[in-house]
Amino acid sequence: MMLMSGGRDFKSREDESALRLRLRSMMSEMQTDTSKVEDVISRFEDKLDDITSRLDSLESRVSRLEKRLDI
Amino acid sequence: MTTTCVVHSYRGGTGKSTTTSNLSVLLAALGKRVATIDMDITSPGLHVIYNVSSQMMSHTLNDYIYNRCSFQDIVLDLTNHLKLPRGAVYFLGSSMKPEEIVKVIREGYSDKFFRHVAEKLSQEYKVDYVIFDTHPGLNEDTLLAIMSSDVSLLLMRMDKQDVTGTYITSQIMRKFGRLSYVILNMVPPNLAESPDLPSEVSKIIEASVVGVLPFYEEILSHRSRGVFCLHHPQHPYSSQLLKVAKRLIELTATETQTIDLSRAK
Repeated sequence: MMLMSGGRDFKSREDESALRLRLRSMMSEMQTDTSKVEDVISRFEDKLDDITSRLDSLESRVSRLEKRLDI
Repeated sequence: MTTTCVVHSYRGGTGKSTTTSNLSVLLAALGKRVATIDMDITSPGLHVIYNVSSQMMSHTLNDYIYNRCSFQDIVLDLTNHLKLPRGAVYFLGSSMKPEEIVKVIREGYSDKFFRHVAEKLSQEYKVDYVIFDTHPGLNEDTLLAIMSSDVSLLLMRMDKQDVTGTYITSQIMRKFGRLSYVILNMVPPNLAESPDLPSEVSKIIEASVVGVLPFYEEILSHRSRGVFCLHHPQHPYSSQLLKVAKRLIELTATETQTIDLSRAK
């Protein structure tokens, strides 16, 4: 475990250290595929609709059953 | 061994501070020593949920960044304040003074800050978990906090805006080699009943869903007056989040390492 040496200095952005530079480099190199993001949203929406309709169908079946059994 | 964890979301209002505070007391209830850090420096609010007054919070992270106090001055032991029977909760707050907020935004702070704070808490307070409550979105300081942490918990609501952001964020975390897990928050009650929901959403957003928290009006009615789980330990929200706390312990016991700055180089 490495300790900070020579006191702390958290306020300066002048001495940009390796982690921040690495972050900037990684972020600038990122090439987000927007069509994939749109696909994710679309599949998410479809899945939620699917789950909701399955739950609705289950609910209506339970309701019909309850009516039949006069519960 | 100390695990550092970021609670993050792409968009605001997803319940990060509520989740962070409740998770901290639940981890404490499981016997863990936890420190929470309000890294939402531009709009701090965690102190409100913990009922920490300005008198109690004599010094903040901002003071420490600018060498105006010692580390011990910014660490508040909330264990007795919250009347916790087990474990411990420490809190490190950010200044709510506009002049301090503007100063830290303008001048910034070193990327070494997060690791330094986590190390100090590990060594001097022997905490098991350090939880950073972050500012939403993908700003540089938030990403640095994420890069400096072992685990990221992404909060996501069930709408298109959140799914976009959560997917993008989890992809970035993967690029950084960080573990990220998703908590579905404020889920419509009918959807939350579906046992398939976590696995189906995990597949789509390519990140593991570790918790489903339905929308409860009681949380809104509580209006941040203290930590909800402490006031309502039997409420379904408390039991659902307890499952998340247990899952976090399981995951971090097997998958994370002790704080090691060499990883961040």
